[in-house]
Formats: sequence, C-alpha cells, structure tokens
Amino acid sequence: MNCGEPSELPHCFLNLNWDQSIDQNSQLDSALTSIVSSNAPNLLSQSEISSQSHYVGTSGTIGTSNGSLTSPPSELNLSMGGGRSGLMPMLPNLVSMNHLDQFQPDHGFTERAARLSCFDGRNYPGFGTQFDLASIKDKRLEAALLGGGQVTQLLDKAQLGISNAVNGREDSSVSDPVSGSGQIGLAGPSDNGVRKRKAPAKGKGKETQKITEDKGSDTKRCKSVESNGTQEEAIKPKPEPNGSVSTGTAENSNGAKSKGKDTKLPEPPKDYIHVRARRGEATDSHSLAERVRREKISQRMKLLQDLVPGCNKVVGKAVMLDEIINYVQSLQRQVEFLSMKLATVNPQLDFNNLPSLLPKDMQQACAPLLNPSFPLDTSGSALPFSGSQQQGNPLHFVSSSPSPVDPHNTIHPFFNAVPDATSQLGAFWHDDLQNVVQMDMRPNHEEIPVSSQSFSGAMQQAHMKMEL
Amino acid sequence: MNRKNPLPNSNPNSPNSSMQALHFLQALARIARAAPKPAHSARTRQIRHAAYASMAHSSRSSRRTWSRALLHRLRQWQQQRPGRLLTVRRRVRIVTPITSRPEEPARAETLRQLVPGGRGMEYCNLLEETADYVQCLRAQVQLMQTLLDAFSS
Repeated sequence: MNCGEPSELPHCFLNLNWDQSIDQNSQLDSALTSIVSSNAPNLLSQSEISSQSHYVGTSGTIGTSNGSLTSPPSELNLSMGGGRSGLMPMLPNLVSMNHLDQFQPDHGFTERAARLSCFDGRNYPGFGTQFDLASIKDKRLEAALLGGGQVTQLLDKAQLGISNAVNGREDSSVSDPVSGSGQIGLAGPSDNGVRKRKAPAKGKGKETQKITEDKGSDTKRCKSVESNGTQEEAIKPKPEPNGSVSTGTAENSNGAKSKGKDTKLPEPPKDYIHVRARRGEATDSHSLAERVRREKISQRMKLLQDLVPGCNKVVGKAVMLDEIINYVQSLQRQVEFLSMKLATVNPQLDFNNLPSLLPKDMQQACAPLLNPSFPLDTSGSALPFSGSQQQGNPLHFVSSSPSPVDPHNTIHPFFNAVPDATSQLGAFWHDDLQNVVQMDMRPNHEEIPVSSQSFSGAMQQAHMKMEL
Repeated sequence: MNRKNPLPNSNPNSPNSSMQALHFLQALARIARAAPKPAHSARTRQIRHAAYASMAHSSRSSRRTWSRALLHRLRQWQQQRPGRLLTVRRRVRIVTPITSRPEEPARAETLRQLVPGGRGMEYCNLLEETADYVQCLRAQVQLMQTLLDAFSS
C-alpha cells in the first residue's frame, strides 16, 4: 500500500507500510496527533517517547547511515538525540517521504530494510566493503521487523537515497553500494523485490548477468578463480551503468524482463581467466571451470580439424577423433614404409652425386665440397647450401645464409651463423665424403685423406655429437 | 646430442623442418657410413629411429611433452637389441594414473597410445600435443618422401 496522497499527516504516517499490527500504533497515533495539535513534543508521554524512540532508534541508524545523502535523515538523528524536539522536523520528513510515490514496499523489502537498519552509519562509506550478511543478527532483524512500517518507510527512503546516489554520483565508491545492495538480496530471498526502477535498464544485459553471476558466486562462496575474477570485475565496473544494475538485477532475477541474448564481452586481461556465466547457466564455480575446459577442448579440436585433411566435412567430436586417430596411424605407417624404402636406397646413396640431384643453383655451392683442395680445415667442410633460393624442398634446409653463392664467403657466414650445426654438417659431409670416396671415388682417394686427417679430431668430436 | 639450435630464420618457410631435415640427414649419413652389414630390417629400424629422433629434435617440438617421451621411447628401442625377445621395459609414470575420465570420448585412450607421452596427459593437453605431433609427423613424411625422390631419380 502506498501512501501517495498525504491527506492527513498522522494518517499518512499511520498508513505507511506497517505490516505488522503493532500495539504501539495507537500510541503513536495519539502521540503524533498531540504533536501536531499542540506542537509541544513535551506532551508526549514517556512511554510514548520510549516507544517512539524505539522506532526512531532503529530508523535513526538509518538516518545516520544516510546522513550524507539528505538532510532529513540528519534531522532524524537529531530526533534520536533529542527524542522530543526532533519529532517535529521528523514529520515533514515523513511527509516528504510520503510524496515519494515510487515506493512499493513489500514484505521482502521489509526484511531488507531491516537488514539495512542493522548497518551502522560508519558502514555507509564502507558500503564498498562487502557486507557480511551473516553477521547480521537475527534478533536485530526481528527487532527491526517489530519496528515495522516506519522502518520500512525510512528504508525505502534509504534505498531511494542510495539509488539516487548511485545514479547521481560518478566516483567509484558508488559501485560498492551497488554490490552491497546486490548482496543485500543474497542472504534473504534471492528475489530482490526491488520493483522500482530508478533508471531504465537499457538492455544492459551484461551488467545484469554480471551481477547475477556475482550473486551466484557469492552465494556459493566459491573461491574459484573465475568467480574471483568476476567479483573483481563487478566491483570495478563503470559507475553509471551500475545505477541501473541494482534495479536491473531485479528484473533479471525476477525474469520480469527478458533480456534477450546474452552478450559475452571480452574480459580485461588480468591475472587470471575471466569467465562469464551465460544466461540460464549455472554460475557454480565447477560449471564455470568445466565450461572453460570445454571451450579449450573445442578450440583444440578446431586446430586439429585444420591439420587433419578431410576433417572439415565431419561434424562431431567422436567422428573427428576417429579421423584424427586414423590419420596419426597412417602417418606413422608411412614413416615406417618410407624408412624401409630408404633402407633399400641408402646403400646406394651417393653423396658425391648429390649435387646432381639437387637443383643447379645448388651445384655451385656443392662444387667446393667436391673440391678436395678446398681449405676445409677452417671449420669443417662446407655445406655450402647457401640458398639464395629458398624453396620448400627440405634439402634446401641449410639455405640460411643469404650471401651469394661464393664458396669462400658462404661458408664463413654460414658457419658463423650456425656454429654448432655447421660443425655437425661439416663432419656430416666429411663422413660421407670419406665414405663415398672409399666406395666410389677411388681415383681421388689419395687426395682426400690428405685433408681428411686434419679433420679427424673434428670428426670424432662431431661423431660424438651425432650420437642420437 | 641435445643441441636445440634454432637456425637463423631467414628461411621463411619452416625453420622447424629445416632443423628436422638437418638432423635426419645427419642420421642418414651416419647410417650409410656405418652400414657394412646391410641387414635390411636393421637398417629399416635404424632409419626409423633416425626419423623419430630428428622429429623430436626439431626446434618447434623441443619443448613438447611428446618429444621428450619420444626420445625416451627411442632410447628404450635402441637399447633393445633386435632378436631379444625379452625386454625389461621400465614405464615411467610421471603423472597420476589415468582412469578413463567421463569427459573424454572412448577413443581417447587409443589416441593416448598413439601419441608418445600421451598417457600422462589430460585430454585437453593431449589434443594440443596431438596437433603438434601431427605437424611434425607430416613434415617428416614429406622430408623422407623428398629424399626418396631425390635419391631414386
């Protein structure tokens, strides 16, 4: 019930949402009537004052908590202090509160109001600190409930004030009340019950989900990485959208507004992975982690799909996995087969004839290789595959030195670049040269060993290195 | 021989396969040199080992789990002389034993057996390793094919 029209002051005051029938209602009524009529707070009886102060006490805390927001709460504070003289200014405040039509306090809100009432004034700047709702004593709740509608009304104002502050202010501390208010609904019923909307939630699906996720993670108190990340996220969002968040969450949780498609926005990169729970998904830390894992797996499957030929037509993880397995097996079989073939070919390997097998531009590079008079002792024989051409042929693998094909120059930059590998190479070719020479190049045999002895040390060194 | 020298990347195509080809050719040469007894099967085996070793030593795969596992396996193979029927295989289980997880499909176990080192990995990492392994395998096959063509022509 909303007291929209302040027909009569005391009546309005009484019409405020006093859900619970309270015996002191009549006392208050009489007290207020006396106040208005006589303008003499002193007329209040002590009992009435005590009962009144009870309410005022509970509401006074709220007043202090919202002291920075509006002046009337401060006057409430005065009223608490005075207990007598403050009642007069309190009434206009109540009147002003009555004019706030947007209120629709209800039972759930009473509870929430009661919870708010438990917060001290110092908590308001500390609204940013996470409320430990568990610390709210239940007996306080009951006491506040007994306070009834007045508390509710005042808390309506408080809520309004908060949302006003949230909407109005731009500093980051604003976001904290949001999270606080977001958390307010946590310990109680998940339904916020905040039906009023200060600012239209303009399709801020992401924030609502953010808070939803935040709520979910808070509820479960999970310390998982993702939920921590999202909590942090929720705390440092833009302040302005947050104004609508607190109200927007109500809709989201109530399902009153269908938010449409969820939007997964890119997370700011922080220390850990941020996950956002999609709408309709569980916000459990386990399910979040599982979702991350599933996404990783699907990512890798896509990668594999590109690698394995013929996987594009296939859809589905199971069949793709079969394809991958088949492909790996076929590749391994191919390796075996090719090695068998190479084994037959290998004895006929004629590295002397290798240049003929290579493209012509390589032959020039290989020429010094076959030239025994070439000073090979500099750093092993050249593998002057100095490739100005770089092709896909893996035999051009050593074509790393860009210098032109110059037997003298190619070697050194090549070796300088790859000192270790080229020593291997030098030994490699040298070994083959020796081998080949012994096998084929009889006529040159006497020339090669002359220079070969200089390498024997290098060869053995390389030989050890070549132990696979 | 555990140098992982990355060749200077002036080769735009694939320094990985360069490294791989390099090692493979070396091994081939060594095999050719040391082959007075050309038992075909022995040679085949040697060449196969050489192929896998060169795969494991490629620059891209040097940090991979499968390359280390492959080398380990290779050592076992080499220690195992042909003709010995009984070999003591020491299975080093690095990670907790894998019970078939409900997450992964049924064929994952087969994949684990195929990919070296696959047994100790989670499914997610297994897929990644498989991708890398497939890449290296493909490069190796291409290399051997090219060599064959070059030598037999």
